[in-house]
Amino acid sequence: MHKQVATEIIDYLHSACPDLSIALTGSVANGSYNENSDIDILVSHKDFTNSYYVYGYYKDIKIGIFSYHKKIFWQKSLDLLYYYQNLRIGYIYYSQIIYDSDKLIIDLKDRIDDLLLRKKLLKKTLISDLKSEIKELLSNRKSDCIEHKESLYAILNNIISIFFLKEYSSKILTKKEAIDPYSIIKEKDIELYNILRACYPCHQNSFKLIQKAIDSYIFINY
Amino acid sequence: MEELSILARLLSNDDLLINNATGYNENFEIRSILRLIGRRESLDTNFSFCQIETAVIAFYKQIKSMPKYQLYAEELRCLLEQQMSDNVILLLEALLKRMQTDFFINTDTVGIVIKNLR
Repeated sequence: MHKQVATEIIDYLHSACPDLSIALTGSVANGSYNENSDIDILVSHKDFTNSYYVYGYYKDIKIGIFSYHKKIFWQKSLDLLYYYQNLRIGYIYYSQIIYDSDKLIIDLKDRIDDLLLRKKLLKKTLISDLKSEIKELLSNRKSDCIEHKESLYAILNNIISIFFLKEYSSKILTKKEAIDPYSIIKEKDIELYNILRACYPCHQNSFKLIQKAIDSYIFINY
Repeated sequence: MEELSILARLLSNDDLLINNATGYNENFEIRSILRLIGRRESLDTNFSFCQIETAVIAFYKQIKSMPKYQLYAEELRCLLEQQMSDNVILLLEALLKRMQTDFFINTDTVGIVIKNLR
């Protein structure tokens, strides 16, 4: 059903806009879909000037359409270099190109290869920067409850990003892995997994726990 | 084919996407949070609570200075000040569904949601 609907949508988009670059991505592209899966389609066009995510429902299936412009790579370059949440580029990297007469999707994939190379070369510097940010966040405790929670989650997010930079600097996470990076951490470093699990969600001892774990384990091993 | 025709029209007109984007981002965020809540059992409880809370904090920051959402922002803040739990999630879910009914039910008849990725 999903493949059939995806083909229908792609054919429709192509007939409505023949020079639109179109690729199938997500679980339908890699064959891991089930009846509850979305259909994810990647598009690009030489006249588009920005990037969008549009979604709607068709035949009771959620259809997500990602429209990417190459400038997202410099708009988001720091995030893409430092942090593990690179789902957006995963959608591009793992996509199956259907139409690409202007080679726009091929160009996006080339930019991802370049990004991965930079991540690999710069990983020590990137890890060091993330550690500095963690120290800064720990030293600037916030009195406002929501800001306090944000700081904790930023620290934990940086720790997860450090883990992925150290262990998998060239890896682009799949959608499933991006939603649940903890399973990968659990497999590779059970101690780090248990530390994260003990700190989430934010509670009155979270900061104490993470400070202790940073000093005794995280900054030593990473 | 109405939905598909709208998607195709949106995608073939970049200006239309930019001009009509107002308000869609909030609806997008609400739907995303409700989806996170709906699938929270697929993840360890501690991690799923954090995922939901992070998304709700981002949403709260997005709407807190918008006068039309002021009452909802205050309610959200009260919930965020508590430690995340199943009970807080239930209250959050009810609040977000109320927001959907009050603000988006009449403007989203074909279920199209646009997120500007800039």
